[in-house]
Amino acid sequence: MTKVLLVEDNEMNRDMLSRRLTRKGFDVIVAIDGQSGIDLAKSDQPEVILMDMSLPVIDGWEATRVLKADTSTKHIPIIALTAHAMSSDRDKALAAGCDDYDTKPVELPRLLEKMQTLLTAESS
Amino acid sequence: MSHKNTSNHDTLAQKLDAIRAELLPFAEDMCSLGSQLKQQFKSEQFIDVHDDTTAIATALANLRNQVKGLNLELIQGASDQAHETHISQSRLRHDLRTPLNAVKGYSEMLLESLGQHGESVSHSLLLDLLSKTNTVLETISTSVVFPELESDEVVKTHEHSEMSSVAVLGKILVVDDDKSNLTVLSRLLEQQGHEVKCANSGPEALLAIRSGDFDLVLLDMLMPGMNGYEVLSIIKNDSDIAHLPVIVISALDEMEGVINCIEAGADDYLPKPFNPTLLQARIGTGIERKRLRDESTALMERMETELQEARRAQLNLVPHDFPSVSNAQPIAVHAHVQPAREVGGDFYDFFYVGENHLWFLVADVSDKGVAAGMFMARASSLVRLIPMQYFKQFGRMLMPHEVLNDINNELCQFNPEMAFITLLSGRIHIQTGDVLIANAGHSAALEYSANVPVHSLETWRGHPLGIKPDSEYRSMQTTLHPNHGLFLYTDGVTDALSNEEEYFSDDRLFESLQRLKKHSPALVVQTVKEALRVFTRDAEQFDDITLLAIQRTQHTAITVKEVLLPNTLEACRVARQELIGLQAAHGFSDTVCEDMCLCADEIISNNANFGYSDQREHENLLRLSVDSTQVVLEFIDDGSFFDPQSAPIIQPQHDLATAKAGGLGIKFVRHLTDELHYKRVDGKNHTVLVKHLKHEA
Repeated sequence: MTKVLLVEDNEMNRDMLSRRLTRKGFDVIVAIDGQSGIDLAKSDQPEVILMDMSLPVIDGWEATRVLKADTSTKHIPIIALTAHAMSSDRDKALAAGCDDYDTKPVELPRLLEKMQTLLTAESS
Repeated sequence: MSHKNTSNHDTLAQKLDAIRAELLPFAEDMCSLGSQLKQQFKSEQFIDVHDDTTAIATALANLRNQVKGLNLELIQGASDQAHETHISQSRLRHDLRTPLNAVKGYSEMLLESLGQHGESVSHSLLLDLLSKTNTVLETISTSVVFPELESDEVVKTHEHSEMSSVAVLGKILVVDDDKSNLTVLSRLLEQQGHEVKCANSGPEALLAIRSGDFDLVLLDMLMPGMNGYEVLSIIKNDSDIAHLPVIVISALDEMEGVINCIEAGADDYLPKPFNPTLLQARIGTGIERKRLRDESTALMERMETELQEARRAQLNLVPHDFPSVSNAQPIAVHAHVQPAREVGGDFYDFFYVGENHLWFLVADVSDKGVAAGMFMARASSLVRLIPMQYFKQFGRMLMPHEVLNDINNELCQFNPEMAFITLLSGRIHIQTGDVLIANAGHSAALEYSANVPVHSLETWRGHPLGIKPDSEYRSMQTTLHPNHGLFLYTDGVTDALSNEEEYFSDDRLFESLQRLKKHSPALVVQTVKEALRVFTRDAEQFDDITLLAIQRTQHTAITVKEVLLPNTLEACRVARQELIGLQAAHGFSDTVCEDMCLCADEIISNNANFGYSDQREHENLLRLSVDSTQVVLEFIDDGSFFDPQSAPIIQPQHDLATAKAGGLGIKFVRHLTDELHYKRVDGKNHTVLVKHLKHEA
């Protein structure tokens, strides 16, 4: 099973997306803020990370920078998720080191496609 | 804030109003769809998906609240700078899309679950909801676009400005049994710059609150064991910590509990899941409220301190050293004042003017408190200064009513508040017991002794001081006999109320004084104070209370002076001088002094003219004595035998040169003295003249 780390502070959205991904056959682990996201990424070595950007304590951009600067985690693809839906967010996310970007509300098929693309690219 | 920025702010507010107007109908509509969905699933008995419909309903309620609250928190959080307009736009989109994400996700999940059930009411409701979600998302994309506003400066690095704009920081206790909630909240708050402590349960929270100085408590409602409501009730019923602001955290479907908490004293509530902007705004408000509360408490404490200082200063305006009694000062005084509030309007005073006149008074300023205290301070210095200055500058001992005239006219001059004072003032001659009392609208003094029942010394009662210029006052004269006392008081004594709303009254006051066996002023004051205390018990004191007792003590006659007299008429001058000196020292009346001078003239001239046959100088003795009851002159001379008691009265003769000893002068002596004694001892005449003082009018 593919292990996915979902970093999301909103309780309902965390619950909803983790369950939907589980239904699609993923092994989902969750973190509620940037710092615990970093900790979990290091300890559990997920294959892909779905990172909300507006997180408490350490936000998604900062967490991404940390993960991409760390040799133990820099290989893990990160998809930024944001509800801001501002055109500048995409550039910012990519600049911070994210491998892809999607907006919330999540279009599940689109998100799954992006995840699949990254996972395939990584394994090849 | 500049004018330009104010207009930017207004533009933003208008824009938000427009967005709200556009989105609110959708939000309301979707909320009702959410409720229908919840009901539908309940009735179709999909127990396992019921939680998801609740989540949808909650997310929709959250969305509606976001839309409704658009112009409040957001505008407060938003700023005047253009770059922050960008942030407001971004944040607003985020806050609206986050609940929509949940709605969309859960709805799609439910549709998947329903797959095998085909067409149903739930199915169409979910489709309707998803379609409306898409419409709203489109509306957000097209409408939540804020115009680029004019700006004086554009700050490039703005990522953290949402958080760094926190102005009010404090020490916060977060109480939640859920560890992950605690972590999220505490990290969020720490990032905003607050100092944060966590507690996992109610008892732990109470312990932390009692031992730490927190500015605010964030309290979760649903906790095992002691719940949030119970913790809140304990906090708000403990006066030591009741001032601490408490913000209750609750999910939106716990509104009833929230209302209970607000009624129990919670300052505010925060819905779960947390919106950082809302959190920041409400915490800021809570801490600000605590700061204001602390400030007002500090202000109250400072005023309290100042009032206590004013009280001390005021109590220092009246004398507390009560003179000890001696033969030279046979008058005992004691007094007590007890203000109803920190500062009072009552006062007493006693002071000497010259060596023999003790002035005493009790006064009551209309109203109580600080204003009365100020008026009291003004009056109390006048009442002392006026008789003292007159005596010092003009050698004149004023009558009490003259002092009242002066004070009244002075107080009438600057008295816009129309305050007034009732005052009973008197002076007593400490040797003779002669008393003059004048009354300005006050209760009469009471006289007490072991021999006669307590009675009031009725005086002519003038207007209170400070009301009417040139009011009339009169002095009443009386004599305070040895072992008699006077009791002066303010109406706070007789008007003191018991718990049963009964007055202490004149009767109880008379009774207290009547019961006394000993009458030292200290004992009298103490007894009345105690009677009042027993009577009023713990009833609130409404009026200032003042008591003053003055008593004349019994004493023996004092030999004041012996002087040598020549056997010439020069001795008349010497005797007269001594008598005037004696009067100044002991304050007997001019009549007494004049009578005694005339008598002395007669005795001396009789001795000088007829006592000797030789031409030598002889030395005679005059002994002057005085006590509170009498003035005594004793002449001892070695002239020829002459007994003024038995000498015949001789009618005046035309030729004084042939006049004999005695004569008409002796008639004067017999008439003017109260007692006349004579004896011949060792060849000397001992002539004693006594003038009683107690019958002086």
